[in-house]
Amino acid sequence: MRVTDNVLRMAFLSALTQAQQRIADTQNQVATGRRVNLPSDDPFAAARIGELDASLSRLEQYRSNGGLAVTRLGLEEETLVSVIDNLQRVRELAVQGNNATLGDADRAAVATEMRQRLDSVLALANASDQNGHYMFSGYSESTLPFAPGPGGVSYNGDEGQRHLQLSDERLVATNDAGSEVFQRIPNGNGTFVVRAAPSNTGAGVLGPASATDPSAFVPDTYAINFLSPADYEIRDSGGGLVASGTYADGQAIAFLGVEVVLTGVPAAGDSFSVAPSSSQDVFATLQAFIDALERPVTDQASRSLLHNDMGQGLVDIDQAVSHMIDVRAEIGARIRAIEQEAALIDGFSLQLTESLSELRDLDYAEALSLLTSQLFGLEAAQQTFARTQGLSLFRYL
Amino acid sequence: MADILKIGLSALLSHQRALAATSNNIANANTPGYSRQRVELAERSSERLGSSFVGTGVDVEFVRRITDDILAGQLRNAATEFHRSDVFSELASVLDNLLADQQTGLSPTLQSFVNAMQQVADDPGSQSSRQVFLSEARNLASRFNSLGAGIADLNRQILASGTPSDGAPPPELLDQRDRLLESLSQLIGVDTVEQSDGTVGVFIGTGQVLVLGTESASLAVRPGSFDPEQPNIVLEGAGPDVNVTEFLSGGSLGGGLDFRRELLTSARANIGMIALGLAQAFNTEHANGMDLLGNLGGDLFAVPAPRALAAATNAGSSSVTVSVTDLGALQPNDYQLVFDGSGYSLFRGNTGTAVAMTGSGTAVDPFLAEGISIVVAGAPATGDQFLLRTVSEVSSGLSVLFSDPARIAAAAPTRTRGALANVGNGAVSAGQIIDVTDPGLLATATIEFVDATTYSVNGAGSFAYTPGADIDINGTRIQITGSPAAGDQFVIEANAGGIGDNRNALAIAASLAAGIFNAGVTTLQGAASNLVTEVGAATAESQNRRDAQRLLFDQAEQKLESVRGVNLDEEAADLVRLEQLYQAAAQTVAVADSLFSTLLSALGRQ
Repeated sequence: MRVTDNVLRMAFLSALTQAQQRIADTQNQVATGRRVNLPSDDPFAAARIGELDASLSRLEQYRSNGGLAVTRLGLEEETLVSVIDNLQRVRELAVQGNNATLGDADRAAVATEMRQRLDSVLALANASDQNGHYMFSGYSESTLPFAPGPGGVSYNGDEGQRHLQLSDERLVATNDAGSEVFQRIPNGNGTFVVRAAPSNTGAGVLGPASATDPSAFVPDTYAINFLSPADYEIRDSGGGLVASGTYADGQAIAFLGVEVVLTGVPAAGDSFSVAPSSSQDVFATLQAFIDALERPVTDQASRSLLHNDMGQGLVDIDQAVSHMIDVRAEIGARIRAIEQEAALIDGFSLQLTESLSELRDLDYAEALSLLTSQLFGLEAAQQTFARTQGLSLFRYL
Repeated sequence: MADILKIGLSALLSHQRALAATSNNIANANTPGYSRQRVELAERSSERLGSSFVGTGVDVEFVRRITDDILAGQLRNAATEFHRSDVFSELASVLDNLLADQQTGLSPTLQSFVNAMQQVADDPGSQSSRQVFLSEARNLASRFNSLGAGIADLNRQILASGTPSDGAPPPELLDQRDRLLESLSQLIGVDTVEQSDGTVGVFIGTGQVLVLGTESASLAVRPGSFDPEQPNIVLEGAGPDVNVTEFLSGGSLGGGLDFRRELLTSARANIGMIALGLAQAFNTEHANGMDLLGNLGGDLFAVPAPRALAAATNAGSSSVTVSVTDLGALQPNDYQLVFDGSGYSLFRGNTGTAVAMTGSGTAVDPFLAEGISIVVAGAPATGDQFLLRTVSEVSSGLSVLFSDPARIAAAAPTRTRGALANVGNGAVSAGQIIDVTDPGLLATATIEFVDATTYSVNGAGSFAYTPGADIDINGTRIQITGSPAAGDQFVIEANAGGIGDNRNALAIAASLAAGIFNAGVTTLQGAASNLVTEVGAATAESQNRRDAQRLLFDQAEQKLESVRGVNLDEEAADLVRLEQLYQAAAQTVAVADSLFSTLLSALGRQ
C-alpha cells in the first residue's frame, strides 16, 4: 500500500486517541477503586451490583430497626424490673402487716409505705420511652395510660402492639399494652378465687386454696355457708346444693376439683365464696392491701377480715409478680430473637459485601500494571511519530 | 534546428506544467478530500522527414486526478455507519450516566425511600422521621422529574446531532462534490448513482430523492403529528412534504433517530412505568391508613393521567379516553390506536406489534388490553390515529402532594381489643383493612361469644366460630384464635389517638418491596435494575459497535487516502526529477541556439 503523509498522520492520531481513551478508562478505575463505574462497563455485573447494593441497604435498615427495637424493649424491661421490685417489697410489707401482733398505728405505717409503692408502680406504668411517648398505652402513645379515679385506676390506652421489621419475613413486637401488663392478671390461683364475706363474724381464716382438678371445676360462683361452726354446705349461684359436710379446723373442704383450707372456727352464718378467676389489675391488688391495713381492728370479725383480705391479697400479688416475670421473660426472648437476627444479618451482609467487592472493586495490581503498559505504549507511539515526522526528503534538497 | 527548438520548448512547457502540478500537490497536502494530481505526458506525433519519421516533442495530455470511486463509496458507507454508532453510543452513555449514578441513580433513590418508610414505622409518632420520609419522597419525585427532563434534553440533542456544521456552496468541482457527499454521509446514510451526464443522484432512506440532476430537495424538522416533543424529519420537495423519519438510517442523524427508537423511548416508558407503579402502590396502601390527625390517608404522589393524542391528520370527530387499570399487565410502551374503517386496532408504540383488545370501547364495556382501558366516543374516519400516552409522561409529572408530615398515614384506622373481663383464652388479631371505603369502618363493633362456638356481632346474628378464620366486619378483617368462653367480648374500634401505630407504614413498606409488574413478579427495584441493565447493555454494545465501525472507517479512510493522498517524499523526488528534466530541456534550447549561431556565422564569412 502507498503510504501518504495523511495516512501516517491519521493512523497515528487514531492510535493516539484510542491509547488516551484506554488510559483515561484505567485512570478512572484507579481513582474510584472500582472496576465497574457505569452499567455499560459491565452490564451484567452492574445489574448484580445494583441488587447487592439494594440488599445491603435493606439489611442496614433491618439492623437499625433491630437496634431500635432492642432499645425500646430494654427500656420496657428495666421498667418491669422496677415494677417487680416494688411488688416484691409490697409482698414483704403485706406479710409484715398481716402479723397479728401489730397495732392499728403500725399497720397504718405499713399502709403508708404501701401507698408510696402503689404510686411508684403507677408512675412506672405511666413511664415514657426515649422519645417521650408513653410506653404502656399501646398505639395511643400520647395518651396517659393509667389514671387513678374513684373506681380505681382506669386504662385509657389500647391493646395495640407496634412491630418492627427485623428481616423480610420477621417482625418483632416492641411494646406491650398496659392492659396486658398491668391489668390482665388473673386473681386467685388462676382457676378460681376464694373470698371471705365481709359480714363474717367468726374466726375462720382462708388458707391455701388449690385447684386439684381444674377440668372438674364448673365456672360459677359458689358459696360455702356455715350453718354452724362445724357444718357447712356449698351452694351454686342458682342456690342448688353442690355439697355439704362437717368442718374441722385446718382440714380441706373439697368439691368439683376445688380444695379450700380454712383455719380457725367460723361462726354460724359465715360464708366464703369460690368464684372463677377474673382479671384484676395490679393497682386494685395493692389498693386492697391498703384498704385492709387501714381498717381498724376492733373485734374478732374485723381481725378475721384483715387476715382473710391480706391472705388472699398475697395470693393475688404472687400472681401479679409471676405475670410480670412472664412478661419480662417474653421481652427477653424477643431481645434474643433480635440479636440472633442481627447475627444473621451480619453474616449475610459480610457475604454480600464480599460478592459486591468481587464484582465491583478493582484489582489494583492488575490495573496499575495495565496502566504502566498503556503509558509505555502511548510514549512509544508518540516517539515513533516524532521520529517519522522528522524524515522528509525536502530536508536534503 | 527549428525542430530542436520546438521540441525543447514543448519539453519546457510540459515540465513546467508537471512542476506546477507537483507544487499544487505539495500545497494541498493538507487539504481534506484533495486528490493528488499527475500530469500525464504524451509524445507529439512524428513528422515525416524524407523516408523516416522524426519525433516532434512532448505534450501535456491531461491532468489526472488520482482517486478511486469504489474506495470513496466504501468510505461513505463506513462514515455513515461510524457516525451512526458514534452518536448512538454518545447519547446512550449520557442516558447510562443519567440512570446509573451510585448515589442519585434510580435504584439507590428507591431504596432510600423504602428505608425512610421503615424509619417512620420505627417511630410513627416522631415528627422528624416523618419529615425525613417526606423529603425522601420529594427527592424521589424530583429524581424522576430530572430523569424525565434529562430524556427530553437527549431528545433535543438528537436533532442537534443532525445539524451540519458547514454550509459549503453547491458542488462544482469533483473533489468538493466528493467531500460534500462524504460530509452528507456523516449526517445520514445516502445512496449515490452516477448519471450519464456526469452528475450524481443522491438518495436517502428507502429511495427518496435528495438530489437529482440540478434539482435538490431539502430536509426539515417538523413538530410530530401527535406530539411536538417528538419531531419528525420531512423531505421538502416539489410535491407535498414526505415524512421520512422512519426511513432514515445511518449517519449521525440516523444514529440519533435509532437511539430515540431503540433506547430512549423505551427508557422513558420504563421510567414512567416505574414512577406510575410507585405512585399507585404507595397511594393505594396509603389510603388504607390513618394519619396523625385521625384522617384516612390521602394521595401522596400525583401522576399525570394517561393521555390520548389525536393525530393532526385525523378527519373524524372521535375522542379517546385511556386509563391504566392493571399495573401487573402494563407494558412499558405507548400505543397507537388506529381506526381502519370498520373497527379499532391497537398497536404497540415501540414495535408496532398488534395487540388484541377485548370489549367494545364503550364506557360500560371499554376496550381492555395489557392493563389499559380505552373508551372511544364520536365518529371516527378511516385512518384516524391516536397515540395513547400511557406511561411515558409519568416520570416528568410525578409530584408530591402534601408537605405536612402529620398527613403520612402510618397507622391503621381501626384497632382491636379483647374485653378485660374475658374469661376464656381467646385472642384477637390486630386487624387488617380490607375495604377502607366501608361506611361503617370507624364504627365500634363488638363480637360477643354466646357460647364457646357461636358469636354475635353487635348483639345480632349468630355465627359459628372457627379459630383463626377471617372475620370481616365493617371493612376490617380480624382473626380470633384460642378458646373464648361464653360472654367474652372482642371489640373493633376506631384507632383514635393511635399515633404509635405503624401497621400501615409496614404495609406500605411491604407493598413497595413486593412484586408489582408482570403479574406481580417484578418489583420496583427489579424494574429499575432491569432498566439500568438494558440501557447499560445497549450502551456497551453501541460502544463496541462504535469501536468496530471506527476501525472500518479509519481503514476505509486510509485506503482512499493512500490512493489519493499526497506523499511529500514522492513529490520531492518528482520535484528533483522534473527540475532536472526542465534543466535538460533548457539545455536543448541552448544547444539549438548555439547550432543556429554556428550556422549564421558560417554564412556570414562567405
